[in-house]
Amino acid sequence: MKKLLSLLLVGVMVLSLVACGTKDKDDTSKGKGTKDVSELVIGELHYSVVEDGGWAQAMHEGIVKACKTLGIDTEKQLLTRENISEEDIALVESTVEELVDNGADIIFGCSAGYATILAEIQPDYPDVIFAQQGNDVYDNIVEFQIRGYEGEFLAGYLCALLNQGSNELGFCASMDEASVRTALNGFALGAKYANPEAKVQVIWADSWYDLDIESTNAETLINKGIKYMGMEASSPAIPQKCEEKGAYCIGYNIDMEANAPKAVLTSFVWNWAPIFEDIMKKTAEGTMKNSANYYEGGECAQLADFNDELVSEDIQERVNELKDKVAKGEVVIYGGELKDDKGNVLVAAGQTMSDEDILAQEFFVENVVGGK
Amino acid sequence: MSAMNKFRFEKREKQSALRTLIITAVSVLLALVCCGILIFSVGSKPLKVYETMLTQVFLSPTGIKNMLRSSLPLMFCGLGVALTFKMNLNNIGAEGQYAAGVIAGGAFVLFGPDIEGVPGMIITALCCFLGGAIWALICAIPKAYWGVNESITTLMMNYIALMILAYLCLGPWKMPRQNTGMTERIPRSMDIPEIMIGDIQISVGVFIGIIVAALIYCAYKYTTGGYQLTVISKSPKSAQYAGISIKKNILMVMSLSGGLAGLAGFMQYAGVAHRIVENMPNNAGYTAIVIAYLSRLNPFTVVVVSILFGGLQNSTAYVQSLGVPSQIATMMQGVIMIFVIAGDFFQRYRLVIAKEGKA
Repeated sequence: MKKLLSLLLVGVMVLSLVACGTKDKDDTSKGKGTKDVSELVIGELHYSVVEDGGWAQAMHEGIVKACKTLGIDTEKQLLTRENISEEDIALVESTVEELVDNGADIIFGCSAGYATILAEIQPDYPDVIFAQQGNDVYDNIVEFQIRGYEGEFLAGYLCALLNQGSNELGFCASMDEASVRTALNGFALGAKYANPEAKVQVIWADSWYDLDIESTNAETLINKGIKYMGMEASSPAIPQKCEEKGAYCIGYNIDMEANAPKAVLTSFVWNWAPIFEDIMKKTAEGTMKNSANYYEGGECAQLADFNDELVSEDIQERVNELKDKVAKGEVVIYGGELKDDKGNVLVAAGQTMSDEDILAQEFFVENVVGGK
Repeated sequence: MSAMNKFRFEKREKQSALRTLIITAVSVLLALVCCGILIFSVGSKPLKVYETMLTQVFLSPTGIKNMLRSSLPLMFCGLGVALTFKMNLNNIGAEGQYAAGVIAGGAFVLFGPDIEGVPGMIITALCCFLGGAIWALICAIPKAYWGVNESITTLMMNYIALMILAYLCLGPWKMPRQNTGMTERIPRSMDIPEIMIGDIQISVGVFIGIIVAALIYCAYKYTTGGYQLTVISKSPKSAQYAGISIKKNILMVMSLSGGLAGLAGFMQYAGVAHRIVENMPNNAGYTAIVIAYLSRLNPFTVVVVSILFGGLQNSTAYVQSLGVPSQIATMMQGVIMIFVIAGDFFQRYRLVIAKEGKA
């Protein structure tokens, strides 16, 4: 026992001695300044693979599109790193180091979970622009987000228009989290705009990606007699289940029409390219501010082309009309009076919800059934 | 019958360090050849990939820093798991005990009294240890008193702990104005310090790991408790005849093991992630089982193997930088693991070719 104790003591002493040492920051200085935009080297971090048929793919396609527009060679100058788990902080850090070693001027964090990690290590890489998907939380990294609710609003409107003779719509949601609520609430508000009596029944997968649960949830909705549904899910499981059972849905993340041509009316798609183009241009000019924040709607939050077999021209036109009204500000999606599902007034008549509250929404709008 | 008897495996009586070393080296080499074929078939140069892995991940100062950081949770989970395996207890629950530890530690940091700096660190570490220990005890008590299979219970408890962790991170503990499941940062004064040795930055957590390994080693060698463990693992019956309480030992070993997994949570929380995130253990508890097995339950070997595994995990990005698809990069980890485990089999057994008619 004495031996043990003395060993422990020695250990503690060594520890306290070494703990006094100081940390050094290794500076990787690269000449900062202007360069031609086509010379930029772009790094991107993905939690899954870029052919995931969902979120990562939409993000990657946005980066590729922006690169192509600006003449950046995606073969040589786009460094794509996949399967970088947001939970594995050491892995994310070593990946960033590797990207910087390979000359990255901009590093795109393509999933919300990278935000805290990138913000923490940004001071170590003053010459690199970190652009991160997320809300405006940090001052030292560029953050970008799309007003997805604009597209979902149109999607809900479209479903409610088609859902003749019924007030019941469905929604398959993934995890109960603000960005998912934004999609769900946007859909419900759009449905309500078309039909004040419309109700949206939501079912949760409680998982970001689970083909079985997603498909079971869609089936549950269909068995309840629901024919039209929206979704916030990353796989084509829901469209495929809808097709099998003769129901209809709105795709999500990317255009899902090819996955289920008899069920997908249109898809909500993330169009990141305009934001990325701007970030790349400004970085090349040397005018990109670390504190910048993008929160874009309009062309960034669109619906894909309509499925002409399922959506008549007349209805397509009505959806497009509403789109113009939203763009012109004639229809304010989060305008008052707006109540939550418990009857509390969220926004008083004549008022509009602040972006901050829209982003961090902790409520479900009035006509959502099955919110948490 | 004779055809079947031609080849058989015989358990090796003696283990030699040299043979262990040679077989491990050969296994790794074979794994690299196998991966090389994969890499070559997707159009990259295998040697170039290995060179990059070696120089960037395992030998460069920043690579070593990150490798040591990644190894911390693996190391502590591995030490804990090895402890229970030593007693033939199948603790598959390091993942959940890790999560439970993080929950207990996080509760103190987020809601406990404002104690920062080194005292705060020690209390948080203790909370994590206790959290993991209690989580393991929930399975240890039924095992000790009613013989309930611990492989099943510890595995099931993993899911429960992970669900609670996810609920807390996405719900009540979530950092304000943040969409992802994570808590506020731990106060900077409670970060596990990192020291410079030469130009390599090393987390103090690694030294704590080595000290814990040394303590376990000494406990096996010099204490009665350690001796009792050895006896129980060799023959539970004789242990009982000798008056060793198996119940007591199950409870003790399981709670120590759970506590170490909880400490793994502390290392990740205060040393690497600085926050609690939704799926913090990220399979470290399961990788630890492989690590413990490969290390032959020797605590010092656990430390070394964990560090190598940390490096292997971090190599994903560097391998991708040479045009190898991410799936192949992850697959390489699996291939190397399988070859080393297969090689391990030949360390324990030897192939005997019997002459016909004799066997």
